[in-house]
Amino acid sequence: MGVSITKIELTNYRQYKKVTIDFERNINSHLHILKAKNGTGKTTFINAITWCLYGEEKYLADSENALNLPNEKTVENTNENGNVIVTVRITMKDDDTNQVIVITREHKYKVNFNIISKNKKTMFEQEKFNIAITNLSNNTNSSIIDNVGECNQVVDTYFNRSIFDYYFFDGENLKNYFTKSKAETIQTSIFNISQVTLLENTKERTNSLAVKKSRELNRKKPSETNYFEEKITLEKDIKARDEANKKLESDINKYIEKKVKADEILNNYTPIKVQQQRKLDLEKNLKKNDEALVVLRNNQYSFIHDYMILLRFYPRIKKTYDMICYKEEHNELPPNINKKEIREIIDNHLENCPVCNSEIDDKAIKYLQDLLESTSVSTGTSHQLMKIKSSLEIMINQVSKFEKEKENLFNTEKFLKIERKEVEEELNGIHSYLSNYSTDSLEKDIAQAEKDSKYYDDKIQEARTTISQNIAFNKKDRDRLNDVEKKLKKEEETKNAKDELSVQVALLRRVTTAYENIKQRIMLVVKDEIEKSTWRMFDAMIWKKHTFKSLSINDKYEISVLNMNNKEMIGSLSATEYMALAYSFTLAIHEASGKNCPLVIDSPLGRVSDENREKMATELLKVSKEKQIIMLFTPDEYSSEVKNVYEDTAASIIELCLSEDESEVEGV
Amino acid sequence: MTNRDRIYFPRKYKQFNKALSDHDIKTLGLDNLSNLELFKLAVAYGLDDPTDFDSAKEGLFLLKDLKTTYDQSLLNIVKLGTAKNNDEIDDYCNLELNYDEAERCACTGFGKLKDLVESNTDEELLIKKMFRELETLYLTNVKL
Repeated sequence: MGVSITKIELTNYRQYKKVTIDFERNINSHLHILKAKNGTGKTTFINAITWCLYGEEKYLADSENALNLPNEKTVENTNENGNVIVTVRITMKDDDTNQVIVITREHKYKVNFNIISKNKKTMFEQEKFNIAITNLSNNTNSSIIDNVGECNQVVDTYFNRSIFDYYFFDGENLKNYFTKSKAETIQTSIFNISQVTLLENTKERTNSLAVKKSRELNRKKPSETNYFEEKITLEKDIKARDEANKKLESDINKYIEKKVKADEILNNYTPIKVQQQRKLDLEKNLKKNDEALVVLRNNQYSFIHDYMILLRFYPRIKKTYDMICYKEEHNELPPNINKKEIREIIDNHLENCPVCNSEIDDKAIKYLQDLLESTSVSTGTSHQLMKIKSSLEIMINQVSKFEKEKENLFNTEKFLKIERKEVEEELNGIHSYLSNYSTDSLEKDIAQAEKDSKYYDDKIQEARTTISQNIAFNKKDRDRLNDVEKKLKKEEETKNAKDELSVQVALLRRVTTAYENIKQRIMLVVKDEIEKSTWRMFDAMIWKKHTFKSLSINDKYEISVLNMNNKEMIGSLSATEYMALAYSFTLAIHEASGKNCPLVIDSPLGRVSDENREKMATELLKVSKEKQIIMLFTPDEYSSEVKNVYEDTAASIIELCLSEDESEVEGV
Repeated sequence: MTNRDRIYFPRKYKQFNKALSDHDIKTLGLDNLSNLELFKLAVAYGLDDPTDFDSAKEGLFLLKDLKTTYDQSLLNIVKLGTAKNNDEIDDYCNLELNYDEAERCACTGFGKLKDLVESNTDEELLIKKMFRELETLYLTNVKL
């Protein structure tokens, strides 16, 4: 059957002080009729519903100047600072989900006293909005939704707020139903209802995801460095060095073998070699001996030269030295006096001194004679003698060393000659020993063996150095290889991620396209369905069977009605036709929504002439067999024709009337 | 004062002296001696038998090369070493006189050295002979 309102409870809501209306279907229909005179509260009743669902009184004529929401009488009866709570609760049953949904909106007001107007005034304090959902299938406890957003979502599932007036239909305001702005709202709402918006959102989300991934893909540029080539080169180098090292190890073993052989030859020749070495040493000693003999010879020459002079001169040396010493001892070496001049002064009886020109008397002559007596040599001679004395001492001293020096020379000569003799004898012995061997081949063999030993030793060292270098290079290259492999792995991961991203991007693009196609298809199907349903119901409601040929809805959900001559009729429709079209379109939208929700109509037949009322009432009755319809009539509108149709078939007929003081609705 | 600036030797020994300085003669290492050293040796050889130059003379070395007191003293006593009294001492202290006497001694000495070199072909024997001569001189001139 779909969705139906089973009960509406109004407390302190404007003139509805405390009203509960049950809407239970009967066997014939789910049509409910509320009858009330103008001003009783029909529109307020619809407003109460929209207020409960949307928090707005959608059909309030002048919201700015309207009375406050709380019931006036209740407010009057409430003490100052007391609270008035306005509540509208709608209980619905969803047959498809087998759930009971109770939507409650509650406003709490505080009552104050206005001194100026001497009236009580209400101050809004708090709103409560919640939905209780009870699943009848499994008898579980009700779940309460008190989050406003989630509550609005549940409400929109049944009564989409964008097209609220297609659920709460105002028969007096038909002119608004097919305006352009309305068409756009309808389109949006239908898209919402038919999940096209969801698809569009999903498509947009998928598309933006594809764009994002595509950008991410573009950012993942391939590395400019060719790590793979470097890896190959490094591996090749490492392998080459490893192989070279193996070969070098093998070579080292060969070199060692050859060196051992060479060393064996050398070992075998050791005694001979020792002799050869001894021979060389002796020859060296002999050479040194020769050099010493040369030095000795020179020393002998120097000795001969020096002493030949000294010894030959010795008598003169000694005599002169002794004479000087004697004269020194006897103070015969005078001060600075020239004996010759003094003698000339005495001999020539000079009157004046040739030096100072002073007179020379007998006393002076006597003094000079005494001086001459005491002075054996002249001053110059004395000076000369003193000068050579030290040299003469050196000469005498040197002569005293003659025998010792001569002895030294003899001993040295003797020693050198003995040494020479011994060396020569030993050399002769070695020559005799070595003469037993072929010197040429021996020396050649030893030289070759020594050469080989050194050569292979060098080779071994060289090979070991190369091996060490190769190991060092390989270590460095292996470290680099590890780095390169890590980078390659990272690149591989990047590439895989890139491939994965490519796949994702392609998939997302395909999905986006698919969503777009599905959306287009759904839109088309939904539109077609609405178009067909609207035409079917419009055709059934309209008594004219030869005027209208077809009805179409464009992509923007603008309705077009064509006559038999294919001319547009939408602007020329009568009020009845317009209402029929509105009902048809409304019901078609209801069908398309997938949820068979109730339809609440204020003045459902107000614009329909008597002749057509019955027909339209009948059509709506038919609809009410499958769909809950709540109609609000004025007594005039609920004419006898209508009454004839509904009196026995309507599920409930309720008459609303005001209390005597017209402050509250009564009679429910 | 003397005007002498050098020591002379007889020209007739010039060839001999040249052979020594050219190392053509190596006997007794005479070739390695300077002209002063050779002169001193020649003076020593002719000390007791001075002779006048019988031919022209040649300069042997400059007196300014006579730098050491030792050498000066040695040449000073050629004549001084023979002085018998104080007067002679004064006279024989004359350097010129001593140089003249030394040249005369060398004149004889050069001849003796030349003979010595030319008459001995065996160096070993000559050395031994020289040592013996030195021992004799030591005995006669020093010990006795």
